[in-house]
Amino acid sequence: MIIVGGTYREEVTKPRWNEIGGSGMRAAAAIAAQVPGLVLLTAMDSETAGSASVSYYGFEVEARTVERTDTVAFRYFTPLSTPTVIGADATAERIVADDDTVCVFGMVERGEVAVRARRGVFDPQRPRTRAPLDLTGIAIDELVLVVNMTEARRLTGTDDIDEAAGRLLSVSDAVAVVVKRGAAGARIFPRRGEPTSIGAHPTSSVWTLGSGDTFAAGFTYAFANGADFVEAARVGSASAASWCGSRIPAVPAEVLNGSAPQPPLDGTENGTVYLASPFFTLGELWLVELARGALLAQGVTIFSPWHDVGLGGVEVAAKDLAGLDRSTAILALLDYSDAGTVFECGYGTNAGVPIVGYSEHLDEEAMKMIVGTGAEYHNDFTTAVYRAAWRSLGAR
Amino acid sequence: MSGNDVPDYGGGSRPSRCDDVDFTTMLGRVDPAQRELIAVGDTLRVEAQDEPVATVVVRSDTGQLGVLTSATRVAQLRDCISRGYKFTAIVDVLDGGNVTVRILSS
Repeated sequence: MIIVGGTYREEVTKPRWNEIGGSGMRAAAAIAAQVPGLVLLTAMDSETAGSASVSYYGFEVEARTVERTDTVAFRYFTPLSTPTVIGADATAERIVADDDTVCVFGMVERGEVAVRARRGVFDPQRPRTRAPLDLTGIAIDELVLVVNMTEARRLTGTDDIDEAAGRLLSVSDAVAVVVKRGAAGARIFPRRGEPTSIGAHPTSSVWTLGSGDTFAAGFTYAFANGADFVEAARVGSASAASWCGSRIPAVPAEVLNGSAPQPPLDGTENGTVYLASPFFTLGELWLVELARGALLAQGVTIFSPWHDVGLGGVEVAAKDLAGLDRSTAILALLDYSDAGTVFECGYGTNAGVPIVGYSEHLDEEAMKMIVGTGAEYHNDFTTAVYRAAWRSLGAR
Repeated sequence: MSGNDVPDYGGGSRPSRCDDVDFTTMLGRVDPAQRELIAVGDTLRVEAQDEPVATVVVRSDTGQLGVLTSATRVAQLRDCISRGYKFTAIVDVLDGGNVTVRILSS
């Protein structure tokens, strides 16, 4: 098996993270221990080579590199933020891959890719602009396209994922399209047959950076071992959960072979997250925007008082609570114990709506009633957002 | 202005001084035979290795258990070790073939 993909430095400001990653590196690390002879084809510059060799060696990844002109790095403010790409103008020498099974990721570096395989996965990686699917140089007999919701939209120009998958099938020879839906799981569209939804595997903590890479690696592993598209997607989803919940890149053998670390959601659930937060300061508004954007990008329904009701006087209270009445979970941004947010939590608790709180500076005395009545509390923003999405879909 | 971080793995927490190192990380290239000989809470040695790759390894008295996989942490520890600082690894999690250790300044 060959994996083609990038090796990049990845930096996150909050929570702080600075590691060698990239889709190719991470996917190879995910399955290398279970795939004898696995090769990673990637591009490398002299500045990154020393650090990358530590990771390749540690994960027992056989990396074959071509030269690239510049260091490439992704800088995220949070794991949910859109990254700034350093070295976006880098170019790389030609990469040639020929094997029975391949997993190919879109790369930042501009350069020719020539891939030939009997079966494989192509994950285009988030295109920065709306652009059609580009499979130049990729000849895979049984090709499965694995994309996330944002990629599906940008590649096709439609927000409807069923329609997007249909368009991707129509402009390629792919035998299936898999659309990853983040907290909501994934939807599998075979060229022949009906689409199927699968649920995600909720975890108690969530680190999203690289979850898609690990999904693709797990999918490819299962696909290479005879799994059908839905079974392979379940393995991909469980693999992603393994990484998200542990930040251990190597996916356990039992997960790759079909044992999920946690039971999945059904994949057909519906729910609405109520976003309880103050929105007086720029920082509060920014956090509301970030949470709402992250949930919407995954197709999660959200009711945001700021967006859906707006500013106003006492008349907004009834409108906000009408939205809360229709919600199935509350994401409460609890820093500094805003009175309105605390009230919404109390109202939700009385109505039996699960509450997921986020706070970096939890006032334990002020939060006594909320936490004491069963609310989840997290000091990691990404975890709180995903937990709220999962609780809205029925996870415990 | 100040800040703090949630606890995390790998290169996740803030850069530490050599005398204040405390982070948790997974090991790669775990030797299955050595894995069978350790238990959660065991204290192991942390050493620099120069060949075939310049990295940092974790050893018990009976042999090498595994290597660090975090390039950022390896760079930090190798710099500190070269300046005479010493570290220990406490076995934190044993999960199948995966081993997670807590690295601490001695």
